[in-house]
Amino acid sequence: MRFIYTKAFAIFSGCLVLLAFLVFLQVQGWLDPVRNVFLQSPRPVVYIAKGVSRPVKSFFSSLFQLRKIAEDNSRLKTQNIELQQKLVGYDESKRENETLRKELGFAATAKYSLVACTVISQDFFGSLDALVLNCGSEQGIKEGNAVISQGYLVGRIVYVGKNNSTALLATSSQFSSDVKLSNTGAEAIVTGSFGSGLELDRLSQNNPVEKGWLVVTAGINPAIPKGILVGEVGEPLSAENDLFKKFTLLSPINFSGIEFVFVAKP
Amino acid sequence: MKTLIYIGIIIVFCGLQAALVPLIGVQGQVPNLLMLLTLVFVLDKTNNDYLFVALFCGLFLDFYSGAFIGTFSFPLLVVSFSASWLLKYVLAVEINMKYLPLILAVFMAGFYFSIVLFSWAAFRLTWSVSFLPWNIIKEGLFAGFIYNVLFLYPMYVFVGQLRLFMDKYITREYLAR
Repeated sequence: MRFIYTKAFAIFSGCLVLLAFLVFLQVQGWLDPVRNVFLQSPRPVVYIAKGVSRPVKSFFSSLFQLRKIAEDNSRLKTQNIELQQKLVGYDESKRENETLRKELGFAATAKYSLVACTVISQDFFGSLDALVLNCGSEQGIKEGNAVISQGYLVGRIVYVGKNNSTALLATSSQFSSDVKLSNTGAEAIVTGSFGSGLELDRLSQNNPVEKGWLVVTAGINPAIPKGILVGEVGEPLSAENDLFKKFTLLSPINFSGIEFVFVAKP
Repeated sequence: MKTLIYIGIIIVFCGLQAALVPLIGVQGQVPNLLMLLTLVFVLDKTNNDYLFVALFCGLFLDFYSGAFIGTFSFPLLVVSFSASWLLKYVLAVEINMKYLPLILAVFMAGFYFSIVLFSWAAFRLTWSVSFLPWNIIKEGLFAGFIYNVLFLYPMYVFVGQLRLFMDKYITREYLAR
């Protein structure tokens, strides 16, 4: 037991006491100044490294994905034409809807405002499925707010500091949110699948569902506005005699390469 | 002066971990430069600088991963101290390059286990809203070890050169004053 009288043990104990003090500050919510210093100090290095790596990454990824880019281009052109045709019909429905709302005196559907945030850090350890963002309570962000990227739900705010916040990615196994099928309005739950994707669960066996149908947030949780795209229904994961239907949910978002997001404030 | 150099190097490695390392991730596995930096400092039996490096590397890991404070810093401190004590007083072997993978494997096993334990404890105490699942040990330890061992030797050489530089220019200059 002589090691407890050594200088190393004294320094180690001092470090533990300092750490315990920082934990106390975190629990009390007073750690923001320290957090800001640690988050901002490597930013110049990050900026330079990203500036150097971005063109290199872009060059090599274009090179390896030329064939896929050509196939995607052809598929998207066809999809674009189909969507334009649908849009004409939707415009007509929207005009009719507005007219009817005016006549019946319905209040307009509440809209949400978006706060643009930069991702400071992602996938730092490779396992936590969390994003650290450069906006916090000063920008009006609150715990539970939805995080959106390219129009799709990518996560939820789990911690809010003064000028930064942490978001749990939708692919995390600890993420879940209420959703509904945009075609039928049937409600279900979306959960993360250990960092690799999304799953649509708890869909009643009575509800019809087909591959390719869009899934949006249901708005049951007041912190997450309804109507935010989550993904498309994929392959079935459940059997016919299971209590609920379960499907994979395909999102076009590359969850490992998110650089900018919007936080939806209801 | 030595402290400032250590802090500067930790900041540079943290920046590289945030900006460059995610680009070379394979199936969610990335090398952990800050953990490797701490491990290499632990191998030096002549001083206690590893404790300072472990504390700051752990704090950067905590803040940059969005985890509850202490999730990485506490395990890194404890595992570093334990590893140093074992190497100095129990094993008493001369550290050379051929032992590095074995030391890394044991260090990583202790580190991963402690992280999961601490994050679970913080979650149970309602300090944290999420925790690291136990399957990161099952799925991440072996793959993470292979990836980290590729960066371990360059890190060992780098820290060796850094110590030579500091002994030659910093320590002597400080003593000369």
